[in-house]
Amino acid sequence: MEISPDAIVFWRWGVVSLNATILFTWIVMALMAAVSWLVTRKLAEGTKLTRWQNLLEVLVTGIEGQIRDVSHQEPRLFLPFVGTLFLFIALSNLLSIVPGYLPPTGSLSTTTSLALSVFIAVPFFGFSKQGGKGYLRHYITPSIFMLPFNIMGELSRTVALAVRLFGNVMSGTMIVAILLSIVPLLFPVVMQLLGLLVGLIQAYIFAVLAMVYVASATQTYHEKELEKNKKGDK
Amino acid sequence: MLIDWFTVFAQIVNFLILIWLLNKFLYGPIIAAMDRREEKIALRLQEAGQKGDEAAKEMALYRQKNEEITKRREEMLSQAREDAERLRKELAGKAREEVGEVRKRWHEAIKQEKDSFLKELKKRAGKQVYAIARRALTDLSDSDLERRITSVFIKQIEGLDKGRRRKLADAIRQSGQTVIISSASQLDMNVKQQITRTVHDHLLTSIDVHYETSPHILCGIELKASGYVLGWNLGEYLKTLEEELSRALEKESAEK
Repeated sequence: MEISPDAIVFWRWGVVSLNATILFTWIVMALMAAVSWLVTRKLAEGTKLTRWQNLLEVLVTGIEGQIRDVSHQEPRLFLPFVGTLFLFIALSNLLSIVPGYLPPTGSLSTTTSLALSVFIAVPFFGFSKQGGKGYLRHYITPSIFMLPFNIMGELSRTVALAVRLFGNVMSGTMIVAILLSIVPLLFPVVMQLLGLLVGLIQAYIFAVLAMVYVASATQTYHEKELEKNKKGDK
Repeated sequence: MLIDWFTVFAQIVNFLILIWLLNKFLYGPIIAAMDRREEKIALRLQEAGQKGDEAAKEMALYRQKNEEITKRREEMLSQAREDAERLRKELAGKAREEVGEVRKRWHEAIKQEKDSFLKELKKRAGKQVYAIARRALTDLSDSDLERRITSVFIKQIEGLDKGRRRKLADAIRQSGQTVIISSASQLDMNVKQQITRTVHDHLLTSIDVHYETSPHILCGIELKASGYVLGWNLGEYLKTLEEELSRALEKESAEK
């Protein structure tokens, strides 16, 4: 029994290999892109919507709302990144109900790559919003002595992101697999349902945490002060 | 090792591609559509607001017009009421006048009718009384009555006061010293002589006395001289009776 879908390799040429993780990622990507394309091909701008358009609009506005709640900033800039993180992880996890499907998020390589993306995105958004100086000052607050701790914190939370998602998804898949061999009927279904719930929650947690990191990097000093004052008033 | 670094790299690339794909096919179009819809809704709301304002203006205008119409109607109604009242009064007055006129005419007609009836009645009654009396007197008249009448006539001449006597004498002189004694029937010679003597004694001595019978005199004797008449005539009494009778009838009808 394989722990990671990385181990299932269909084709290999040197370091380049086509494993189950990449394959299923492509399938998820294709599915998402196809559904999006099909639905957004004919968008209604009036008050009458198709069900699919309505669903996608609810999704998009829901994500926007969450981003706004977490970051207290305009969500349009972060929507593609955070939204894609959430949708990709959620769909990858939800599809695990399909027999024969292995969630790409159950591979530590995938979760690492997503965590690395967040790791890169944080300074990227920080630079673009505050400028280099503003962002870098963030590492030496409240004093220069905090610099190593801030860097360690940045690294450790990236690792935590990757391992948390991997552990949850992998454990869900593993538990179902193990239970199937012990109690083949009914109980695995319950666990699978639980797995779906956990998968969705993990997608939410991953996206929200990514947003929190990005938001902390993009919030200017002035904005932070304002927020502190608001909390003080309450 | 659970991490395959090639897969990590490939997944990062996949993830970036997915972001691009979703941005192109999902977020972009959906957000654009939502923005356009919001714009449209805002536009519609604005239009609705404008229309609402216009409607409110129109409503205010119509309300004002309505009020004006109501006011005007009230005015017209009160005017019409006044006109009707005036006309009613006028007509009632006219009707009253007409009724008064008719009543007056009616009263006049009744009065005329009554008058003519009374006149007729009077006439007939008088005539009847007269006729009866005449008939009765004719039946009664004989020499004795004649004598009595003559004696009354003679007493009348004898009893004339000075003034009247002079007037009578003047009248006789004017008529050429002639007096005419009229009676209902032919008088006896004795009676004629007695009368002639009395006239000569009490009035003028040198006058002619003519005797004649007159159907107008019912019962009695008359002395005529140039318009002056003296005598006793039952016709006079009857005339007086007739007059009295008609006066009594008139009084009675007036009391009614």
